[in-house]
Order: sequence, then C-alpha cells, then structure tokens
Amino acid sequence: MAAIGTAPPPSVAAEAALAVPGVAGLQPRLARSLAAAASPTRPETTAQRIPPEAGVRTDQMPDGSGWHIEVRCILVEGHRVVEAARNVHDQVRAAVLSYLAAHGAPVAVTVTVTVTVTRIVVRDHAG
Amino acid sequence: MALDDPNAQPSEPPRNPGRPDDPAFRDAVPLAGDQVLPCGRLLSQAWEQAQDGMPAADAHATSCPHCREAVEGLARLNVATRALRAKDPPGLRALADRVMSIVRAEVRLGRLLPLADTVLDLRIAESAAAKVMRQAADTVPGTRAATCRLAPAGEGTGVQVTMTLAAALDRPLPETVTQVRRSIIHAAGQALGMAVTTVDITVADVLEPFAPPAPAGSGPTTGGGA
Amino acid sequence: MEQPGLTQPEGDLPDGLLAARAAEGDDDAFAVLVRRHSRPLLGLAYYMLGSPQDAEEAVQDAFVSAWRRLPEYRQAAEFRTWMYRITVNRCLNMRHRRSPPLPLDAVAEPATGDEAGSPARAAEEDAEVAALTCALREMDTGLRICWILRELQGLPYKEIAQVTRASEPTVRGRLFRARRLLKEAMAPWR
Repeated sequence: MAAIGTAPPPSVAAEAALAVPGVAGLQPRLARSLAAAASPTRPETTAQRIPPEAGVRTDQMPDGSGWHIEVRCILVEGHRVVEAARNVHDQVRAAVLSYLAAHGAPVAVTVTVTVTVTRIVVRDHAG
Repeated sequence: MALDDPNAQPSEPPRNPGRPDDPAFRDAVPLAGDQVLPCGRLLSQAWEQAQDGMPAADAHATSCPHCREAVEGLARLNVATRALRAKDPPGLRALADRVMSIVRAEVRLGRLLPLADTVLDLRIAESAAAKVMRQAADTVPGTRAATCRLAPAGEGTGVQVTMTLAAALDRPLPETVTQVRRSIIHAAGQALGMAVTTVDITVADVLEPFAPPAPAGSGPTTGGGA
Repeated sequence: MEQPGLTQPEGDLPDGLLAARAAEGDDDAFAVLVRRHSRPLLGLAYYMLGSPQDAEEAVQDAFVSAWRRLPEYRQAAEFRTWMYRITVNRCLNMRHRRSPPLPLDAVAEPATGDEAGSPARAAEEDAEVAALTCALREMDTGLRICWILRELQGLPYKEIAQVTRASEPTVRGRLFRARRLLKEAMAPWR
C-alpha cells in the first residue's frame, strides 16, 4: 500500500462547503453536538462552540489510493437541494485537491455530500 | 407513584337521609371532609356547580341562600387564583429556545436517500426530505400531512414515498389524493431534486377545523368541568 | 410569549399531527408543540417545586425526554396529557431528590388597610397571590397537583385523572379538599 501522507485537515473541506450559497452550517456528529448542548451555557453560544469541522469526516480509501470525505450540511430553504449538494461536492473536492497538491501529496479524493436539514430562514437564524 | 394517598377515597360515605326528592342531590355522594349545608345539599356539590359548571346549575343553586353563601366563601380564593393564572411563570421566554437547541443537536436523520444525480454521491436525510414533502401536501386545500416515510426504490436513485394524511371531507377524497401526489412529485423534483417513483397515500384521519389553544391568562372557572 | 403563527406554517396544526411529524424527526413540528405547551407546563412545575431554576430544569428535561420517546409514542393518550404526565413525574422525582424543604421565596406581607394612605390595589393583589402561593406550597403534593391542573390550567377531571393515574372520584375528592384548605388558608388575611 502506497503511503499517501497526512490527511487533509477537515477545516479545508469545511471552509469550502460553508462558502457555497444556501449552506447554513455543517451538521456535527451526534456525540459532539450533545456534549455542547448539554453544557450549561446559553443556547446562543452553542452553535459557535462546535467548530464546523465536526461536520466533516475524512477516511482513507480502502485501497489506500487516496481520501474519502463526507460532508454533512444544513441548507436554508430556497435553494434546490440537489444543486446545492452538487456545488458543495465540487467546491470541497477542488479545495482538498488543491491543498494536497500544494503539500506535495496529490492523490485521489472522493466526496459524499449528505444534506441533513433544510431550514426555514426566518425562523432559524442560528446558522 | 407518589400521588397515591390513602385518604383519597372516602370510606363508605354515608348517604344523607335528607331531601331525597331533590334530583340534583339524589346522585351526590359526600366526599371526604364534606359538609351538608342547611338546605340539604353538599358543600362539594355547591362548589363543583359554581367552579366547574357541573352539572349545569339548576334553579336551586341559583336561588338558595345557603348554596350562594357557600360559593361566596370561595370568592377571595378565586380572585387570587385569577391573578396567579395571569402571571407568566419565570423563565418562560428562554425555555423554548433552550429546549430546541438541545433537540436540534439530537437531530434524528432517518435513512439517507439518494438525490437525483447518477454520477455523484449526493444524499439527503429522510427527515429533511419528509419535511419538504409534508409542506407540499399541506399546500393542497383541506389536507395536512401526518407521517411521511421514504425508502430507496430499486437500484438507481429512485425513491418511494409513503404518506398518511388528515383530510377534510368537504371534497372528494380521490381528487384530494391525486392533488397531493402531484404536489409531492412536483416538490421532490423542483425543491429537492429527488426522483420519486411512487407515492402511496392513506387518508388516516378527518381534518377538523382547528382552533389553537386559548391565549395566555384566559383560564377556566366556568364550564368544561367534566 | 412567542408570536404564534407568523413565522410558523405549522402553527395551526392540531397536536396529534405535530406529534406524528415530530416522531419522524421533524424538529420544526416539535418546536410548535414546545411553544404551545411551555407556559402551562412551566407553571405546573413552578408551583410544584417552588424554584424557577428547578421548574425550568424539570420542563426542559420533560420536553427533551418527550423528543427522545416520541418514536415509541403511539398516541394512546393526547400529547398534552402525555406531556403533563412526564412533567409531573419529573417534578416528583426532583422533590424526592431534594430532601430539605425548599426555601420559600420572599413572600410579600399583606397590605394592611389602616396604614397611612389607602393601599394600592396592585399591592393587595400581590399579597393575595403571595398568600395563595404560600398556602399551595404547604399543601400535600397530590392535592396540589389536582388543584393546579384544574384551577390554573383548566384541565377537565378526566384528563387530570389520566395525568395523575387516579380515578375521577379521587380527583374530585382531592380537588374539594384542596379548595377547602386553600380557602381556609386565605381566610386570616381578610
């Protein structure tokens, strides 16, 4: 199995996803968000306390040829979901590839985008 | 549960011998610590009639000075009760936000379903897609969606939808169902970009005109006791 | 209170439909239920526990527990009844956990009529409310729950019986005794 170097940091994928129109936030995995919600701080600060990287998961491909990245995102209503997801896919993949190229480890990258929530903007301005 | 208390039930309440001809009295059983008024009625009965409107106040209750006096004994308590009822409990404003912040952190995604892209791996959570489908169903007059489940259909990106509805009966149901199906398929294509293959709809309930709960502070005291 | 309906397309839905949606993970539907039922549940918890912090904690826990249990909730009871029951249980557990009696919040002295100037009506009302609150706290829990559900929240006897898992005659008996005790407790202020 070829060495593929260190994993691309999740913040690279997270930043690229958050820049896509219609993306309100990334959906952290459960354990992360529960810990934050159960803390005694006021709810306003909860969203800021979970870094967006918590919505990104990076795995080495089974054959060792590169990285598989899953991004879970929260969309606001008013954007066609499949298009926003496609956009997230393309932006995340491009950002990660360019990061890897700049760090001398050009390998394969696949991206899965999961839309977890669609939100009505007026009601939920937390994202 | 700690609510059970041994004194709750009056043990063998004695039937009062007086006034057996009074129809309102005949069925009344004295409660623990009850009191027979000089007119023969029970204190508990006079209070229930006045406070809970049960059974509908009869001629005796409105004319009898003893019953009236018994009811007037509660006036002071009733004034304080009304004032208490009008007060918002402390912490009300922050409560809903805090609850929803925890609930949203515990999102229940359901299955992950394919979006209609045959090349890329794009998915949407069942709960998010169902929300859009329910909104689509709600736009059809006289219908409100209840449950909505989604499942992958076959090998490709197809998805099948199973929904239950509450529907008003003022229009033919088959027509309503057809409209809901059309609305769901349209929303799936336009808002989501999901290839819905079949929509199974069951009308599970009759949609009654709904009045939201009474505004804050308007509590009971009259009627609706039983 | 929240402004109802304006930003909530689901604000006009009956509880049963909202609960069915929430059971499938629709958090917006659950938010409508939370806003609709917060006030009475918090009132119940507050007058049962006597402390605003404990009351908030009890109702918050009750709602979060309801959210987790909704997928198994088969609507055997009305959502409101179910929610009341969870909250009552939560409050009872919290009372058991705290052994010393709760410190009374500062209770206003009743305004006396013979002081200089006529007492303001608001002050008198505050005093009445304080006296009632005080008497409520000293009353047996079972009686208190029945009284709160009936007199502050307007639940029918049948629903109170379901919430407290008691028979309707038991509820009537408790309510009668609660009224009698509170009436007597209020009398000295006259």
